[in-house]
Amino acid sequence: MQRPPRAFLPLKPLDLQLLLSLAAQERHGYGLVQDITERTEGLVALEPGNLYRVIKRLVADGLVAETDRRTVPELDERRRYYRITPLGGRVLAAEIARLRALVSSPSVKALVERWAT
Amino acid sequence: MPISERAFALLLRLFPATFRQRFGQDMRELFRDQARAARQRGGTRAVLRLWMQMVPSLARAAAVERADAVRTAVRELRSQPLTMPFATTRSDSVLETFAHDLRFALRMLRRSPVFTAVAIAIISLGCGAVTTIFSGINAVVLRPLPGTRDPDRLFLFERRSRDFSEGVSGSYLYYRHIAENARAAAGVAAWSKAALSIAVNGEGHAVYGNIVSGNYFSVLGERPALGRFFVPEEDRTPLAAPVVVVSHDFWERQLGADSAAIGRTVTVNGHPYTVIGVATDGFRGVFSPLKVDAWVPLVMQAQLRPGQDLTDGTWLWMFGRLAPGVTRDAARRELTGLTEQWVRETKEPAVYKRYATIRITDLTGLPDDARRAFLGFTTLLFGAAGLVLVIASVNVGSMLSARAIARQREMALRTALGAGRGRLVRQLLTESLLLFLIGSFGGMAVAWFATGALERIPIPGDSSLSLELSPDPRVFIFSLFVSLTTGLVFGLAPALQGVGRDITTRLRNDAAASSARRSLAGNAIIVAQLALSLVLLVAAGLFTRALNDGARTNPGFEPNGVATAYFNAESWGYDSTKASRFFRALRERVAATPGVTATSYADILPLTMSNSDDFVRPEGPGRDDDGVARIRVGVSAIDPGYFDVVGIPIRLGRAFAEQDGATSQKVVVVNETLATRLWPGASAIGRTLGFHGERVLVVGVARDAKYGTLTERKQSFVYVPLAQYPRPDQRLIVRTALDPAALAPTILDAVRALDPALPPPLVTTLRRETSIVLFPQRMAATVTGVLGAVGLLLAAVGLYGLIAFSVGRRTREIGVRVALGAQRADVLRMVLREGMRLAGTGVVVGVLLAGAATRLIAGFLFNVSPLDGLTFAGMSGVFVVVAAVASYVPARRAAATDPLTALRDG
Repeated sequence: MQRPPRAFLPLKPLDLQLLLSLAAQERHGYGLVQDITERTEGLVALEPGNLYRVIKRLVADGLVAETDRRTVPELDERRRYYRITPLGGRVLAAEIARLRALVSSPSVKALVERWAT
Repeated sequence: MPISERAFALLLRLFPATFRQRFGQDMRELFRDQARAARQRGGTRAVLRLWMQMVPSLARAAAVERADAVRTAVRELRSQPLTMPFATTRSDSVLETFAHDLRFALRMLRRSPVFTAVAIAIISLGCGAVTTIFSGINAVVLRPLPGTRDPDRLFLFERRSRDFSEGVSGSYLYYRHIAENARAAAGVAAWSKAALSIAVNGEGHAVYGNIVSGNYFSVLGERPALGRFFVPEEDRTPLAAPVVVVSHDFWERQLGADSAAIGRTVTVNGHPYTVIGVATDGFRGVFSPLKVDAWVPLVMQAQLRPGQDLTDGTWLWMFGRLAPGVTRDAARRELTGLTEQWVRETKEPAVYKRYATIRITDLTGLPDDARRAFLGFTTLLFGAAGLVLVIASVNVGSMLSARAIARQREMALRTALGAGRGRLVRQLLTESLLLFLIGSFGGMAVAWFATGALERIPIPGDSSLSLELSPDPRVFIFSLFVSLTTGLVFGLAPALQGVGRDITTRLRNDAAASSARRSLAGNAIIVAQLALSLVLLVAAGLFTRALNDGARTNPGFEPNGVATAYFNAESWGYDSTKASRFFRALRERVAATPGVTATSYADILPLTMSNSDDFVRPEGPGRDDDGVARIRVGVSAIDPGYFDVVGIPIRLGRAFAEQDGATSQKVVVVNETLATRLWPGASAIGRTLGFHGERVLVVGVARDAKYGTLTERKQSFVYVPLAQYPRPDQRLIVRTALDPAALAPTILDAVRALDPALPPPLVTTLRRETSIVLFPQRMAATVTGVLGAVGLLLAAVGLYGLIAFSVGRRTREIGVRVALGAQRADVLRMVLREGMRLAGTGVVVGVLLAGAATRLIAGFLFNVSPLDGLTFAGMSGVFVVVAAVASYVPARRAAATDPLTALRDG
């Protein structure tokens, strides 16, 4: 039985990055690392160990799935590609909405203004 | 491969194997990409930095993964895991292993409830069939008599002729001779039946009683539930012991289960008797088919059975208990010696002198001959039930096989992980044995219900005739034994198959490898099942045909339209004058009833299992020692009007009339067979016969009839007038133009009007009484019919399962056929043909088997041939129809195959 999207919130930073990355397109492991490194400007570093641990968990939770696509023809390598599942998409959307609500709430805005400098 | 990559691969070993298998390759490629990018970005230094960052994180991730793996394993172990102990270490005790196997087996059964329920239901049916029949055999033959102590030391003995073919019961004097002189026996007891009417508070009850020697209970070892049994004084002086012991049942029903009943006075056959004891619950005496309700002492014979005497009359049956240390053979030799001495030294009537050999048998509640007949009959039924058990077990066996195939990968995995072959076989076997064990409990339940149903099938005739078939611990043990044995036999093959020999083939892909061989074995199993169930069906059909044939057989008289009632004037305390006055008055009253056309009395009725044999001599006075050849004949004592009531025409001369009285010339009517045998070609009228020591005049010849059984050959028969050979027990017979059963109230009213104190007699019809000759056929037809139906159902389910399985396996092939243009009808025909080919083979094998088997039941079939074509053809027809339905269902599913789906998924 599927858990409702809300049950996954809040997402861990790595999970959020991974889902964001896959929401755009299917990627393999290295593609994910590159994309996330770029988007976070190197703040979120992914080693092989923790990347695949996260993938394993997200697959088990049903937010991410393996695709049938394996081969990168020009490199002639067999790699697994991952895609976001519909549930993963809904969870991601819910998390973004939650963050947006957080960011746009007046009290939070006031706090940010007070502490930004 | 560069050094850094090889080092990374080594690092990956930190991760659990499952994680490595799943992601190892991808992780290595990711590392390679990252390393390549780092080198391009910042040379070796950047690669080193990558390593510095990566190793701790990798180690941390690996540690977390390891912990996760352990947690998952523990969780799975707790919540019904698929896994079982992979291997047992040497330190595991056998008991622990067994407990483990058992727990795991229970979990497996719970995991597939439908499979489990179906398997248990099938085993219950098969096991129940066998257990039911065994219950009957156990109750009648094997079970020691209820209430006996040390039953192995008890023995039954009879005087037989030298070749054992004929026997005679004992006279009272002979019994005393044996009882007083036999050293080999710790005690010898005698008994006979006694029709008793016991009145409690003025209300009479006709009960079946036994008149017994004083040591009857002590020889058996029965102890009173209440009060006491007879004491030696009550075995000595004639008429000095007016005491009665009653059954537990009688005590409950008629004496209010009151302990104050001991010492109470009741009226037995018109005389006051004191109730001194109550037998234990379930004690039925030594002749188990009859339920005894009261026991009276032998010394009261003159009062209770005045028709018998305490000298030469042979009316007692005897049994004894071996003295300590004495063998049965020694007892037989001593008793034979005592009997020879008795024959030499006493003035016993000559007719008994030829019976000087003793036969000793078990005291089991049935006379030896009856026990043999019963055993023969029930062995046949047992065989039929055994067939059902085999069919059921084969069904479950193939279900287990199918599951074993489904679990082959699991088993292979376990083998790969170190579980021994023996260990796995034991596990699978534990599962099957557990199934069969539960099935045996189901079988007990089935037997419980079935024996109850069998007990309720009314036995025609004597109302005291009843069977107590309910299962006891012996039956329970039998049921357990049967189920565990079949579980072992039919569970071992699937277990061995499941574990298999070659791991690698099974780890790769299993289904196809051995499927050809397996489907051949599956076919053979189904054919065997079908054939066996056809054998049962044919047997049921033959018994049913025999039942019809028997019902249509002309018995030589007309059993329809006759009411009958049994009376025993002795049990009312009537003397012979009073009795004959009563019988005449009753007859007159009943004869005046509208619709009644004829009335009479007879001591026995034809075809009611109550024949009595006697001898006549064509020459001489007919004394037993006159040395003239004698002829064995059936004898019946009858009143005038008898031939009109039963519908036997007089061929020559006359029937009896009122003038044939006690004081006039003794007369007889013979049947045609005897007349032709003695005086071929001449008239029998006016001839004389030697009978019971005098010459009697033949006044008539009656048409032949069936007297004992429907299959008997022509039997010599003699009718004598009741007036000249009076008997205290007689049957009133009444022919009516109306419904004979409706005469019951009339007869009961007439009896009450004549003497209100008399217990009401049992009124029934001649048709119902004579139906006892068909009782074995009716019983056999019912039992084999039910067994045959169950067998056919199981075989049909098996056939359905096999065809469905085969269709499932051939989905792709069928898809291709349909894609290539095969029509629905073609597919239907193809699958049906497969089913019908199996059914056809089953019919052929079954017909051959049945042809060999039905010879065993030929003795029960009257004129129906054991190879009766109609039955064989008819049952094969039924069989083919059922098989067709069983294969049509999966065939239709096959015909509905969608080629696209089939080719994609198949």
